[in-house]
Amino acid sequence: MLEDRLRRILPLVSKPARYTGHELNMIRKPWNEIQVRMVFAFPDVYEVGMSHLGGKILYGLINEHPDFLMERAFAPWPDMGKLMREKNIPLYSLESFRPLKEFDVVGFSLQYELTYSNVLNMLDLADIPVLARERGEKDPFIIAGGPNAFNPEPMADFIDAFIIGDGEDVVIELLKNVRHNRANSRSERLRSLANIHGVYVPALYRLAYQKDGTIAERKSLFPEAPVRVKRAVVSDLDSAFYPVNPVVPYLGVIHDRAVLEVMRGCQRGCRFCQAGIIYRPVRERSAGNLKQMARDTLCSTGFDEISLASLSTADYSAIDDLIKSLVDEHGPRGTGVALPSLRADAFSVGLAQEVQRVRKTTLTFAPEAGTQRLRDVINKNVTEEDILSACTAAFDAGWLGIKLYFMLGLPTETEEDLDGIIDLVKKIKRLAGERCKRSPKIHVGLAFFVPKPHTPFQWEPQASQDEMEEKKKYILANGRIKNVKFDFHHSATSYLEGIIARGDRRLGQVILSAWRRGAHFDSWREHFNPKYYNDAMEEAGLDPDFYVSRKRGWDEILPWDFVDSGVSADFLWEERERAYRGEVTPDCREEGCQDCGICSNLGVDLDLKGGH
Amino acid sequence: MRWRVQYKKGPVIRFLSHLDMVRLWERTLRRSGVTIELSRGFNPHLKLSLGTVLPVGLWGKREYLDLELDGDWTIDRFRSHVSQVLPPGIEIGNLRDIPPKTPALMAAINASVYRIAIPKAWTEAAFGTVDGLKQASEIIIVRSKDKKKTDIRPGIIELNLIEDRLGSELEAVVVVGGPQAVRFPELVMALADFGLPEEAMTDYWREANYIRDGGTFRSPLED
Repeated sequence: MLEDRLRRILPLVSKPARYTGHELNMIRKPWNEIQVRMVFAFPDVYEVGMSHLGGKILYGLINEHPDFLMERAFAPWPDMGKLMREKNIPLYSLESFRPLKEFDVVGFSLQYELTYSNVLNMLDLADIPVLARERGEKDPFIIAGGPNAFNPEPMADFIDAFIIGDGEDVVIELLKNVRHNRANSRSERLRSLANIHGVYVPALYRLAYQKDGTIAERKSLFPEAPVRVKRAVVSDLDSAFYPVNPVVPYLGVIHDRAVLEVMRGCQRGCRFCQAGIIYRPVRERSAGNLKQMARDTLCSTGFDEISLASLSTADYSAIDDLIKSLVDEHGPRGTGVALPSLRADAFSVGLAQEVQRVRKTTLTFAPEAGTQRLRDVINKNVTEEDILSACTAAFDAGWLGIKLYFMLGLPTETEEDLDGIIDLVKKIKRLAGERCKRSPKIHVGLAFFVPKPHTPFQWEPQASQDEMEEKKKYILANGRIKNVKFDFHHSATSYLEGIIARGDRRLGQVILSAWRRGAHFDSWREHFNPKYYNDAMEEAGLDPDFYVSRKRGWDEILPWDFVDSGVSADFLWEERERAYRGEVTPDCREEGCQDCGICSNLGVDLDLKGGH
Repeated sequence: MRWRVQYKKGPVIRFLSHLDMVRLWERTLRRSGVTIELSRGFNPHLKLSLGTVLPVGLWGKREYLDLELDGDWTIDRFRSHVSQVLPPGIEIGNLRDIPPKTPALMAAINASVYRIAIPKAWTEAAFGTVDGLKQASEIIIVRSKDKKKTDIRPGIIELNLIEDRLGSELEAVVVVGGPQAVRFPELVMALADFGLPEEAMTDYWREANYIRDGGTFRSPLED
């Protein structure tokens, strides 16, 4: 019995409750009565994975189907991983304590480039060959989805099939396909998967490269393999499945609250933002449904907080009504409402104040850039006046803590823009001094810009690591302000993220070799060792700057070009041009269609419940 | 209205920490619809408090919880509401109302009973260990928190080995709280030093908690 063996080793590891399952609302279906069995595998630790919304949706959705089941597995923390290897305990699912190898499908969620080494580590812990081509007839299919599937190529060597776009419909199609083709050979089954809309099977293509390292040709080897893979999209979110009885972790996890997905997509059009493209168009849920979802979720979980999740919750068309009624209904029993993504304007502060009737939180604003010029370049349609009036309103309403997020290394950035960040923070600090009795805490988070596929900046060079460090030094030297804390992202981490984010298939050997050298939990600073990757790049004869610091041209075949997000390349390029001209592009909800192509391309439409 | 509830923390959730247990109870009570008083302040919490910390890795047969109810609740109605929404591993035992001034569980409970299951093959050795410990004038262990050498003999109130068909159960009654307190890992260390290593223990749990007054032991539910 695996559970008995675990009892012996779990006293030796940190946070053993990560590995014991049996949580409230966990679903364990009778194994032998199920036709296709899938395990959701999250390549980070339990507390991170259990905070992930997509996993909750798929878990509820698949388990609702009478013929299918889905269980869960997370990356064991290094202390546990080591013990599992020593004691020959394979990576298992938390529901039935079965090795991952016994499932038909193992589905990884790819949220972040620095978790890729954990995917390999988890496969290896599960005793499944890490390389797709080495898997046998009996091995499970290893599939992957999530935002990073929009550039699947760096993981093409390890993943049998990617789901691109909204997973709800595709995953059910995929499980039906697996059920239907059980008798066929693995290669036949793989080819059949490629027929499903939104599924990409990398083994069915061959790549050729030019002397300069760019892609010469991408060839589809089988008739089933489409030249371009179109993203799947749920056109009517309001009627889509939503899990109102999610698994409730015993451990404190990152997002330890009831989550309502109020809408999917964001139409603001920030030019650095990948999510703003790949989740288009905005599709809202109706306030009536959301209120019922809140009631049901609180009742089934006992959480004391409801989070209204989306890319930009203040943009939800019925936000006022929704917040007011949630606070009225659930506030008296001490249940709070959280707004995780607020814009830096007075309207958002008004919403936050509404929420504040129950519970004090810190306010977070993301001006992203320090000058109006640069904010126009990135199409962050927020003015200094907006930001200052938001802060004024926040201080007047009694907030004593504010977080501000900026990016360093955006295209066209100069020293003036760095000064702009410092000046803006100083102005906010001065405002606070005038308006607050006690000196408020101002926390400034600075991330390094990493250009992402499917954005207008996908062709742009990223700052080198030296440049990142210089910018950091400049801010630290010129931005000494009392009671203001600056917090920087790790430049080596951002650099590696940059390599992989716009990487091609050849990075597979780099990820493999880095993992073999010891890379895992790269997103955790205490475990990240850039040397593993530097050595692996060198061994593969690849130049990191080819991926990070190089400006790409319009004619270049980008590794992710074949993934059709629905937004046209012409639109992205035009947005890039407008960025360099400092021209902003308005939100199509307010100023009419801006021709991004999504609606006609995917046969969908903006779905705003409160009207345009 | 202040109530005291006895519950079982079952083996499947033995690895939950004290904080996890507080969270578990808050959520269980919120789901149940039982109205509990809220603390004041910006972060209102349900007014409930758990008894002495049960170490991570142990399950407990008779653990305790105090809470302050808002409104009129009968024992039957409370029980039927809560028992419908209990998470795996939790069972509710006896419960009763207690006078408002009753000392908090954390302060009142001063003795715990631990049990350790021992297979047949080790039972012989276990008898030796128990005799050895009983005869020892001092039992020196190195405390894990500050690496200090400490004599835990004064904190061991009773030690017994109960033989059964499958092997035996070692029962240790120890002091909790105060300078003589014996923590469970310290007990395990002492047993190992006296010839009973951890691999000889197939299971361990806390059997009961008591309020001890000289030679008398009463349950937290007794007056």
